Amino acid sequence: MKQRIIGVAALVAVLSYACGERQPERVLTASKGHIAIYDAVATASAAPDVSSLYFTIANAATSPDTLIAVSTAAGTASLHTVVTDSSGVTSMRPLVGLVIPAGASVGLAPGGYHVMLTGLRRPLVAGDSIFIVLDLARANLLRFRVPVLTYTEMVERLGTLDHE
Amino acid sequence: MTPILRKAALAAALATVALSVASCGGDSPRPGELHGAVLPAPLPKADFTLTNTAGEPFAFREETQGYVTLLFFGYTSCPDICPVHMANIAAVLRKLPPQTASRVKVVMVTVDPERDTPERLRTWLNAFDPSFVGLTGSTEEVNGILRSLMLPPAVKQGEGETDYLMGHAAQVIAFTTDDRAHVVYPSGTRQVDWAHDLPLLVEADWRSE
Ligand SMILES: [Cu+2]
Repeated sequence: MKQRIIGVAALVAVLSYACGERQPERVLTASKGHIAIYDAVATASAAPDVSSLYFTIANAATSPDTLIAVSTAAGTASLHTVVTDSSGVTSMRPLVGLVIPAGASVGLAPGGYHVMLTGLRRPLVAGDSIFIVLDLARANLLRFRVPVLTYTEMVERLGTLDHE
Repeated sequence: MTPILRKAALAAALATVALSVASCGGDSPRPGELHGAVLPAPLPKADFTLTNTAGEPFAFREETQGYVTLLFFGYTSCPDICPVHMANIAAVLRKLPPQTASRVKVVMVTVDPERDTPERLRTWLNAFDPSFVGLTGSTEEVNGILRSLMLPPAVKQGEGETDYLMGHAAQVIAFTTDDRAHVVYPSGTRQVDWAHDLPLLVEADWRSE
């Protein structure tokens, strides 16, 4: 049974890869039990005290899991989404728990879900890396290293979320 | 069709293609040809003077005359929308032929004058392209400019003295050499979109409209 689920997940991954616009191959950053993290990227600070984090969470379990919080010793991490109201004002809103449905993956990407880093102890520099900790309702804590790329490298790696 | 006629028809067809290709340069792009969001009615170029990152007055309309000018309203404590726009535009300008890239100016007006000092704005813009112009003015001045462009005023979110977010219009407005904006670029605009549109905007002759 477990093998069949993994097989289905792999097939879904292959299909979404084939349909993607120019999806580069996903790079596994970390995994724990049913949770796998792909393409984790932190951006080099343009303003010295602010930056962002992106990654994709895949949930291979048959029940959903929820990302509750993100933390890092580098500064304060806040899980955000981006919304545009009817007057045309675009702003970030705190995200209270990001649900990863069973057998699916959810991506943080420019223009959408992201982790905002504020109060950085020192600016993030391209080529460095930072440790981050994800707190998930079922998988509990996941600690892994994230490479720091420039915003340009990050966008070229992840693409931009299309709002059309 | 006889072979001769067929040849003549082919020649005529080729000539038509050649003509339409030749007429591409200099014309205004047709609706649907641009990847950006074409405005229902063009906007007149905003006329304002704010302070640049060297502390000098910058008269937007005069200083950008003759250039395709990409105007954006944002703030440096923005982790996602603002730096992604700047990074995408900077990356595409580096890849375009210099004779095209040199005809494009990028101007960023901060909607967060409390935290965005000219120095901070300069450091932030230098992370993308040192040639990008950064402007500061009072909240009233900036909201007045936004209003003149039919954009909503920026909104402060959060009570913290230094720890707050700004909500703001997220589109880049592209003014062309006719001193009007026909097209805007929302958040989510990709490098392929800029690479496609910027040469068209530089070459466009909107007077024919
Ligand atoms: Cu944010």
